[in-house]
Amino acid sequence: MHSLALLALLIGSSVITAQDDVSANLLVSKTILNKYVVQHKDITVEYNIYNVGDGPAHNVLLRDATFPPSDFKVIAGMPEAKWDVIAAGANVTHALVVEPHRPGYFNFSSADITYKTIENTDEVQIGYSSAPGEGAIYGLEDYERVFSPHIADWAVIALMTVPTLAFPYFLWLKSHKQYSGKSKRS
Amino acid sequence: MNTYKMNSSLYSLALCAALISVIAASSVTSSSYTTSDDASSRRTLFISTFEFTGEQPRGTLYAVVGDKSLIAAKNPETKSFQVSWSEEHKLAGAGTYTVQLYSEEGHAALRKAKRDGQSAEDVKPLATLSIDHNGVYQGPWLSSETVASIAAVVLMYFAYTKKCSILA
Repeated sequence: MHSLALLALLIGSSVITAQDDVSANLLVSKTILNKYVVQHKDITVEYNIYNVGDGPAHNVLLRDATFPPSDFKVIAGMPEAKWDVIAAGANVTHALVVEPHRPGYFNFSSADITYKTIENTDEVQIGYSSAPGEGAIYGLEDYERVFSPHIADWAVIALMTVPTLAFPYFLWLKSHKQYSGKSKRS
Repeated sequence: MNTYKMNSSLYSLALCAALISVIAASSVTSSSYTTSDDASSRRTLFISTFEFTGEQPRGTLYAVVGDKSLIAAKNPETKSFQVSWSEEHKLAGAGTYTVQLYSEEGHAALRKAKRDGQSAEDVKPLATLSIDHNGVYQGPWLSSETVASIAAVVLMYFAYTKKCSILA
């Protein structure tokens, strides 16, 4: 009888241990997908959440408070996103598009994530995403100077070259007409 | 006994009518964003933000785009949802992308149907969204410098041949 009770206790404890071991572990990457980060142009931010644990994560809340409204405007996506459950081994992609108001250097730091490893518990796990780091936000004028096709500038250059090309051309045209007319007569 | 049967059939009719009215009442409003410029993203990003008017879906909401199954994110403060994914520019051509939204049960049924080799068309989505993508601008085919150089060379060739014909 005692041995049976001991066996039951052992089995029970092993089940509890197994349940304790099953827990979610979320890894979050935050990536800026831009080739160039430019004032008044879209910044594309992608978040990838991986559950590398062996249990589901509950009440997952991703929050990126690193884009203050005074400096950035949200174009698309949500700076705060919630998932009821992220299963073990699953990965979730989230995205946010913002537009910077000002040029300069900006530290693109981490978003934070909170989740529960057991659904009905008060214990909340807190994590942080990777941080893309400090990067330059180019001024729109500087960017345009380098990357715009400069069609207006080329049009001005073309207009400026017109007199130097057109004047000799008309001189030639005039003499050509006279010459060809004489040769026809002779 | 007959009264009981009548009552139960009336109840089931009423339940069906209520369900139909809920399904009819819940529609989706959505807005979308896709990458338009190569400089703003190395990959083409698709974002669809949507909101159910009327009956709200319970539990996890899944979005199916082509072969991909995505979990929709909820806005903790409003009733809106977001689905986002990215693709390489080459693989994400211009066109209309269809996003089918499924409840947990619907998604499980869809997976089961696919696993069993059955037609997935029998599993009806909660809603279907369309995202129009106009393609990603990857710069002009010819840079303005090249066009100006070609124009200069053509002019020079024209002037030189004319000069040669005068001197000849």
